Amino acid sequence: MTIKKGFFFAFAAIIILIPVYVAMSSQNVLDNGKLYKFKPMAYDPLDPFRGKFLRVNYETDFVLTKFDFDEGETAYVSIGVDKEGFAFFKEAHKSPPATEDYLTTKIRRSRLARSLEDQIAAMEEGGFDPSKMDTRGEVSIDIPNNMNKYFINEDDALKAEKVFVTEREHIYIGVRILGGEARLEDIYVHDQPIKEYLHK
Amino acid sequence: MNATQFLLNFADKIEQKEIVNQSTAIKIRSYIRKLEDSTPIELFLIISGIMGALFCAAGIFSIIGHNWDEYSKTVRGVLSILPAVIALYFYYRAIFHHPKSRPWIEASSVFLMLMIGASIALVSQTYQLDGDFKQFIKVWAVLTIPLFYFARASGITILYLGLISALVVDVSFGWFGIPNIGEDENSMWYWYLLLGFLPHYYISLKKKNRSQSVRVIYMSYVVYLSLLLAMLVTVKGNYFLWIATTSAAFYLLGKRFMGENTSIFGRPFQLFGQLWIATLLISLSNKDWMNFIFRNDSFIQMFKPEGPNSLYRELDSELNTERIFYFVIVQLLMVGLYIVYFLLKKHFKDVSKLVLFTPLFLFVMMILHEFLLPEWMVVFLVNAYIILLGLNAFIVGSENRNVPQMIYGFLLISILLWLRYFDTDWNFLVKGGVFIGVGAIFFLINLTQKGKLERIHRNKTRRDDN
Repeated sequence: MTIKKGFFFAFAAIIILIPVYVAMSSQNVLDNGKLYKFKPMAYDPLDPFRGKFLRVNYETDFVLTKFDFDEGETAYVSIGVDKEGFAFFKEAHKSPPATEDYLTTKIRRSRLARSLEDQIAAMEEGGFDPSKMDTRGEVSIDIPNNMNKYFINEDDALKAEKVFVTEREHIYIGVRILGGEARLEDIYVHDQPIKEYLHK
Repeated sequence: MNATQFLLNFADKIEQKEIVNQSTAIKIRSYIRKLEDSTPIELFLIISGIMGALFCAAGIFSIIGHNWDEYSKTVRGVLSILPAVIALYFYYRAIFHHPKSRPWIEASSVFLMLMIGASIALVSQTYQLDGDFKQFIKVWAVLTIPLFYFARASGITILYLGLISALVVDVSFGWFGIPNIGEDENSMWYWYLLLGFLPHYYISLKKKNRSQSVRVIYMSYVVYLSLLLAMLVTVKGNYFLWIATTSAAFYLLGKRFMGENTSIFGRPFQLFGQLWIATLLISLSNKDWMNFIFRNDSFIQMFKPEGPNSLYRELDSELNTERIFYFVIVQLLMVGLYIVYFLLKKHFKDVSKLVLFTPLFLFVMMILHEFLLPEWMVVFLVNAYIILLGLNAFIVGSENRNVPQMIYGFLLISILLWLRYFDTDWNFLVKGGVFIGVGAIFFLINLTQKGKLERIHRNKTRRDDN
């Protein structure tokens, strides 16, 4: 009986530790990760299945890469910040970049870069220096894990969806990134967390 | 008034009328009470317990769905273990304070399993983890396995196998919402997680006698359906050999462990195994159908990809490698099946050799059809095999007084008769002669068996008591 109790408490400890572990690792990313502001691309109506949530989409096409990727292959995407301070998926790598923040995802579609096609056309017309050519290809990627659902209180969900339409230009998504892990911190409307904005 | 109460009253009555004396009446009453079966009421308690657990769990999931985001992330993170802790408390009570009570154990196991999922769902809601759904299932399933062994809970079988079946089947929706079913990339995990469950099933199955309780029959149905689904999406090619071999294997397994269950629905492996085998053979009994099937599904086509009208024609080498891989596995399965049968023959009673050797028969027919015999001979052999199968079921069923088996044999032969009457284009005279010949055989069988009925009638009218 005592052995069985020992096993039971070990089992119980594992069951409890798993949510605790997930919570702590998430909290770690939120506390220590660098904050990036992403512009949302579009949004879907909400889905009442696992509690209500807002689905957030990002610009995931036209990610540059030096490598040949197959569809479905794992890629490490570095994060860049543009002049206005918004983040974007900069470049897809085959191994995690050492110096930059990155996220792990899968390749959705791999194709020749449009800019590359333009450059080839320019080369055929002449007057183009091949040594300066940008030979990087372009890929489309899946949205990395843990970035595209924002679970929200059922009473706020409808209001939040309307805000998504009316305040589209003034919304960005705060994502904390640490060691290849992303956590969606909050959705900001006029630099306020969406929850505060709705209850103002 | 139930049967026990009725019999007890009857015992009282014959005591009052002094048909039996008092001491005999006491003996009769205690015997009647001992006979009373507790299974139905226990089953009722288990099912209502599980229902309670399911509804409570659904309610808790819905409350989680509200999303209590007015509290801070830390508070919600800590509270997310609450469902699991509550369920663990009930489970603890069940296995240490009511270890003999099946309703307690089954209901608390179902509740704990669902609450493990609820805790993980709650923490991922708090931290906005859309997460990888398949990853979530893996963690959930691994955490469920101990529940089978702590207190041998079986009610969660359907939840567990349903959960892990989601790892093997990949359903995607194509144009116009037409579902597209394929193999998931996590399919190996299905087999690993199934291995975690099978010891529990085997321990429940293994008994001295060969009759099984409702619990095991229920698990057998779930196991069979889950395995069937998994094999349908993972196996590539050679479907006829696969279905025949696995059906024969299930049939043998059923004979070993549940041969003494009285109703055919209490022997799911035999039921499904025989239905599949009858269906396969019937579908091969016509020349055109057989040509079509063998052209597309015979293993021989794998080795000659340029066949005239073959689905194997596209020289997709990766697919063909997979097909050969699954062909080797089915061959190993078949050899293993017969080795097990011949080595452990004394454990298997009343096995129909015709059902058991159907996979081998199909295998040989595929070779004969391709190389040695003209088509009509192969078709004839298949039809003869079905007649034998039907006759065998008919006669064995009559010997064992097993009405469903007799009906099965009768149906098999009548379906065959019906199909052959309309699709054979022989000379009418020849066809008539053959059909009358087969009919005559049935009358002959009738003559030989007539004696049995007469003996029973004689016995009924015999008067021993005067």
